[in-house]
Amino acid sequence: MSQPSLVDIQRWMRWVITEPRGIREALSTPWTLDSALAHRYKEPVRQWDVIEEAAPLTTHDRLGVYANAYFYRLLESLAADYKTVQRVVGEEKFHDVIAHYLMRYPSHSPNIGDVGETLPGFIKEHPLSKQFPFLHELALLERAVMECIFTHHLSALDVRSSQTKTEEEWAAARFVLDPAIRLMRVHWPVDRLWKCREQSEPLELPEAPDPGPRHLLLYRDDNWVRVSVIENHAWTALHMLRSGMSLGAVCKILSKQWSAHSEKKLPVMEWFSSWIATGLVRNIIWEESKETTHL
Amino acid sequence: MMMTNSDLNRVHPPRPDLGVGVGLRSNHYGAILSQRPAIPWFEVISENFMTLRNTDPESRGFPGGRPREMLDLIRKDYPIVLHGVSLNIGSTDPLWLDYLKKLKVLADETQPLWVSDHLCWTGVEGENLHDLLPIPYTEEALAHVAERVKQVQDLLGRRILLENVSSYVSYKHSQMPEWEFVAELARRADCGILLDVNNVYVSAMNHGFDPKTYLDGIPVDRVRQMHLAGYSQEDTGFLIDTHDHPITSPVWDLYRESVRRFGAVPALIEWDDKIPPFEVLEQEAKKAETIREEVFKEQMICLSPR
Repeated sequence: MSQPSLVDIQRWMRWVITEPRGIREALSTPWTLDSALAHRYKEPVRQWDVIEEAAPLTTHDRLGVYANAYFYRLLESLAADYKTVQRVVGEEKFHDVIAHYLMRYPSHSPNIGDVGETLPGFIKEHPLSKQFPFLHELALLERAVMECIFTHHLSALDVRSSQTKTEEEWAAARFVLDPAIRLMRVHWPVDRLWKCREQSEPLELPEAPDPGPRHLLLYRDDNWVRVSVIENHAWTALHMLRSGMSLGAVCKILSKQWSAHSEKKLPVMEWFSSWIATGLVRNIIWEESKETTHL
Repeated sequence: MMMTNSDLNRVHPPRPDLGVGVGLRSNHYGAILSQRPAIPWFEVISENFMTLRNTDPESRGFPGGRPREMLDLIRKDYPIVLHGVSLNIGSTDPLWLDYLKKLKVLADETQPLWVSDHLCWTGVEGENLHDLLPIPYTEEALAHVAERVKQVQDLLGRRILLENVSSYVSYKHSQMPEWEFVAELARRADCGILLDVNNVYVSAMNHGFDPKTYLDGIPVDRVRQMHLAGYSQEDTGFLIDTHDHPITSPVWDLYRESVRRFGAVPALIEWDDKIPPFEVLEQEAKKAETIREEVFKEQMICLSPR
């Protein structure tokens, strides 16, 4: 028998271990690449050419240890990252969703945390989203929480530098927001579901979307990720500031919208205080500008 | 029995002995930061302190997030070592340069005492199976892996340690036993060995070799760290390296043999699943420390003039 090369053994083992039909089925059918390797080997590469048979286990059982470990390790990791999704659909259905997901999106990253990166998109197209129409938004929220955990904080803002600034300088100021924050607009109250993920009672599933969009802010404090529903204009302000717009430009755009909404002044200073308190603003870039605004 | 000079060198080679450490897991951050337990050092899983792919550009390529913040707090008071699971050193795929860059940044920033990973392959054709798959012990594999270890060491600018893995299959065409492969690899690549005593035992039982023969085949001066962990036993008697149980009696016995052979090598308690309160890990570390002390005492008696 010709000795299989290292690369062919690895390709063959990957195929056997990840074969969705299971080890037994995989080993009873020819490896699809056999024909491509015909010029390299006198005989086809099969398990009895590669793996040593030794009691007490058969080759099937021995390879099965790796096949099970492959699937269940990834399932466990995704279940931890998408805990609320798993609670909503139940363990059995979640298992099936992940089995199909891994067939389509196997891991290509050294970091197991990246495996679930495309799961929200997969869920959106999955038939379960018809039964649970909020599932996609819930998965997006859980992924955003993960990203929030794994994104670094910038050092805290020193507010003393802002105390002597003129209105003109404030208008031209650009805010550097903490990279860990996430802004999401959802239609279902998935934040409520997420907050109940640890409760032992069955989750109360939403029956209809909210009348208007829910504006979510995700940020990380010293303990964990916080998910808050914030006012639409404050959310938009954060969104625009994050894109690099100056405070003056943001206020100009929002003032028009705000005047239709309220008789009070645009509460920029209240927002700013709360953003500072929660560590959302990490730096302010001061620039010369002729633009003025009333803060 | 009196020991010779060469035995003396074997017992006390010039290398740092940190005693018995514990694997750092997120469940224990609170306990460690609030109680500052008397553990001499921690081993951390490198990948747990790297950013996710496609997070904000500002943090891309840099280790980040809450896990890293915790690590920075813990390493103020404790020495750490980095232990990876995705180096994929035995794969026929090209080395993951992006991963190695992240690892280098992490190592440069956190200043671990050393960096280790596993002697295995974890994926091929760009796919990561997130498992520690055994390498066939052939001359082809040896040359391939030795070359890659040299490249990794050059890229990281430091010597690495490679750990023997537990295995459930062996390859018909292997040309040498695992211990010979490990020893020759360490020599050719000039890397260190992280000897996982539990893995030696698990593989020995699963493949029917004598674990002491394994230990005898490993060069003393290359072993820079040891691992201790618990395994699970299947109904068939097959052992699985689950890291979810206390260390078993035969592994403690094998550890005693390892300390006799390799001397004052730092050892580490690993526990990755069904993680118990931190005190349980401390108790396991104390047991390991007691074995070390007993062996050193026994060796001192042998060395004392009569």
